[in-house]
Amino acid sequence: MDTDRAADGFPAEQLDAIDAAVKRRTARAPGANVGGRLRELERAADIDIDPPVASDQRGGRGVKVAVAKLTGWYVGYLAAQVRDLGNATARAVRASAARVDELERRVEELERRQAGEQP
Amino acid sequence: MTTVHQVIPVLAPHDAVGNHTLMVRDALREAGFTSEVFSELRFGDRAGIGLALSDYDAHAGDADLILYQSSTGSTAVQWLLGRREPVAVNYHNITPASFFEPWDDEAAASMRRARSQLGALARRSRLALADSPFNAAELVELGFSPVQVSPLLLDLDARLTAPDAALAEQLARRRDGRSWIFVGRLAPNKCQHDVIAAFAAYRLLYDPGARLTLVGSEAAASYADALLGLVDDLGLAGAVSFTGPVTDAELAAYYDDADVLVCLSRHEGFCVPLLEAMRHDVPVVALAAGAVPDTVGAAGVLVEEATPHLVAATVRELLEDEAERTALVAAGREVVDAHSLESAKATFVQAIRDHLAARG
Repeated sequence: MDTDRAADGFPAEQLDAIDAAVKRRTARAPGANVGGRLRELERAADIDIDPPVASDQRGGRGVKVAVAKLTGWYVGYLAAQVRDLGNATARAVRASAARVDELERRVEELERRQAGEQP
Repeated sequence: MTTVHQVIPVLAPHDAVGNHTLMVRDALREAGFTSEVFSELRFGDRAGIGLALSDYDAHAGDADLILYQSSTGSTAVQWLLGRREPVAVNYHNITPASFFEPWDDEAAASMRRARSQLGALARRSRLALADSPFNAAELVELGFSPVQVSPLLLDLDARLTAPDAALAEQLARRRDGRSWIFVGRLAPNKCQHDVIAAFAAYRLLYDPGARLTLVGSEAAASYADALLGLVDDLGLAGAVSFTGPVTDAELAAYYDDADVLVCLSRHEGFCVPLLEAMRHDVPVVALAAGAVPDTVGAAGVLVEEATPHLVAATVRELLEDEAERTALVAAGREVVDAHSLESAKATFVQAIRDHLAARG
């Protein structure tokens, strides 16, 4: 197989350029998609207080329905606070993300300027 | 009469798992079982096929077994957990969320949910069937028992439609070198970026007129955008085609035009396009990852890493060596024959029979 990178005429630089292009286009840290994560957080904060009551045990469904009714006022009270916490967290993260975006934009601009100034 | 119903979250057109489900239903009926397919969502040319899951109790009667077709997340799992009937799972793989996390958080979250639901089914499942040893190993890890490898039902002959004549003519006119193809959704786990990089190296080193066709719809828009950007960066705009979704006739034309199928996917539960390529006598070069080595067998060239110039050299060696190419095509026909629909149906039905007999 003629794949010896050290061989005469082997276009190592052009192959390196292919590797670099792939890295540039695909190197994305997990979490880069902040908008998507925020939507996930907001969905998670939308607490569902109606639990599934299906059961494969005899009488299981009735027991689950009864427990859900008995504890509904308490679970609802907790859920409202968790929902508020989730929404407040999402707002805080959204504000931070906007600041990070602005900082990244400024860093890129500075890097471009610096590269342009170099001979 | 023994009754085995199936539940599948979605019945969609051009979906291998949906096709498998309908063929399992037909095989069970041919074997004397009563069998229906219930799904939460049916659309396209599948809209009128099977029954709605919400109508299960009205139509199903007493089932001896409910077979759940698992390849995605679904609220049907909660429904299954509440049933009294014995449940079996037929697993076709759920892509690990880590592949999608950098690209599409919603898709990644959906995959995490799907895996968690699958884990919850482990304690309710009486039998787990996987369509590859790779998928079987995932089920064992999740706590399923017993786990059996059982074939995916595929009608590869039915996909041998006449190629789209206009497209075939257009492809022939454009031919100026070797033609690469890969078939699969544009998805991070399928690593089309590695195929593009290997193809760029192949053009650079051996064949400046070569072309690459990537057949398949988008699974993550940001990943598809990155692929388009990569093609531009590498100056391959006229050499790489993204087809989007295609008809069977168009797919046949693309396969007929191809000299080689290059698959550098890092996670596949089975990978039907490998068999489709073999059915069209297109030799395969593939990364030895996921279920790919099981599916390819000895009918393809497996590479251990996706380094562009090494993949390019492997493809070139295969295409220049007529004897090896012919041997691989012949081996591919044997693999396709081993996946014949009739034998797969018989094996699948026997697995269900054996399970029901053992249960008494």
